[in-house]
Amino acid sequence: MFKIRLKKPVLNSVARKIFVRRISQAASIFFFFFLFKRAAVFPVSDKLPLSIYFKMDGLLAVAMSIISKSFSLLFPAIFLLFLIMLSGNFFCSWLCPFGGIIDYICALSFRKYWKISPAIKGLFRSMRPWTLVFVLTSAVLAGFSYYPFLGFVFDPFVIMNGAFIGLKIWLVFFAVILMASILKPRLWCYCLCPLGWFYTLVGTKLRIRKIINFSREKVFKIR
Amino acid sequence: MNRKEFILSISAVLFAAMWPGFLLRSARRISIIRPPGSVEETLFSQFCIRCGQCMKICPAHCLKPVRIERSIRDWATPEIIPRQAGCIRCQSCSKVCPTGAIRKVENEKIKMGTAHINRKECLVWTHQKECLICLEFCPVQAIYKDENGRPVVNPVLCVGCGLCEQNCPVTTEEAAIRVSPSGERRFRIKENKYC
Repeated sequence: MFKIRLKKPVLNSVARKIFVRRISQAASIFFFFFLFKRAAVFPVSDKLPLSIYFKMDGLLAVAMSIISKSFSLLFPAIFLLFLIMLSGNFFCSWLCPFGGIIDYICALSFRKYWKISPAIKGLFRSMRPWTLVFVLTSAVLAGFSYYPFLGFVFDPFVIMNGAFIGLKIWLVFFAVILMASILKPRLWCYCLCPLGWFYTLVGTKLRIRKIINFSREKVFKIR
Repeated sequence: MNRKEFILSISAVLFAAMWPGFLLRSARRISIIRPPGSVEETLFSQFCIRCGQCMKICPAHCLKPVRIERSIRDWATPEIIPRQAGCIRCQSCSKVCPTGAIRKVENEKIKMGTAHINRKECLVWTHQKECLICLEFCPVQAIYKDENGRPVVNPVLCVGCGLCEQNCPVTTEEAAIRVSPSGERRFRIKENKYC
């Protein structure tokens, strides 16, 4: 009478990748909050890397190196930039705690996303490179970097940190970004985040070369 | 995007990036007492990312954000308001600062400013009352009594921590002893030293 259909418990490769990615994001969010909590405990621990997320911020390091004309600030970020150069921009989808929170909220919220017309989508997409140009040219041309000054708009870690401390503007902006993300997943990341675009740029060149080499090998094999 | 749109966009972005930057850089500087180990004032507002970590950790609660009406450029950066709370020189802020806007320096070298006595307001100088609370609270014994028993600040020894101003019993808005950033030491990035 009744046919019981059992779903296969085996995850396909894409679902498995998303699952591992979610775990990685959860670990990153947990680590961020652990450091955030520890940074408020007096006396301050010397052993924990309390500001590791800020120090990994490659764009911040570049902007400050331009302004101060000293490259000592670049060193902590260089390691991450080197990894991104080798393997593409894995940071946004695997490590960024802000991106993780946005993804989790999107996963938990209703799934009817805002349908954007291609023209608006194109406009949103074209905004992100300009924010990077805006942030870096101000440091080079005017000797005044907007990146730290407008960190509450541009920097994911500053937004999160300020919001959880309870600073009003940061909190409002954080809420706006989350609301926007419910309408359209990662809207802020695609439109504004200059850090994400910077990492994408850094990670693109070698990756393209890798893809080209891979396709060449394939062609040779077929031949 | 065609060529015309690209040129228009890049000019708009460059214009938007340059002019407010120039204006902000050349804006009038206000006197701000910064935490110990801060980098020089011209770079401080650009090094500080307004993350609020220093204000969160400060055990004396002496670090407050600069209000936007005081200075747009220095908005939300940390400052010490000695009348509210003085600095205890624990340098916790330097340990949590992610960008090196506040750096760890030797405790003996710290100098955030200098205290000055407003003789018109001081209870001892004007009203010949017995007070000397500032002298009791000074952690570096920079305040001493003169031959008439009145408090005097030794600017060489004073570190500008503001504990005297915090505890001054004068009930007016301004204390009888006030700390200003004059004589402060800052971390010079190019020379890589605190002087």
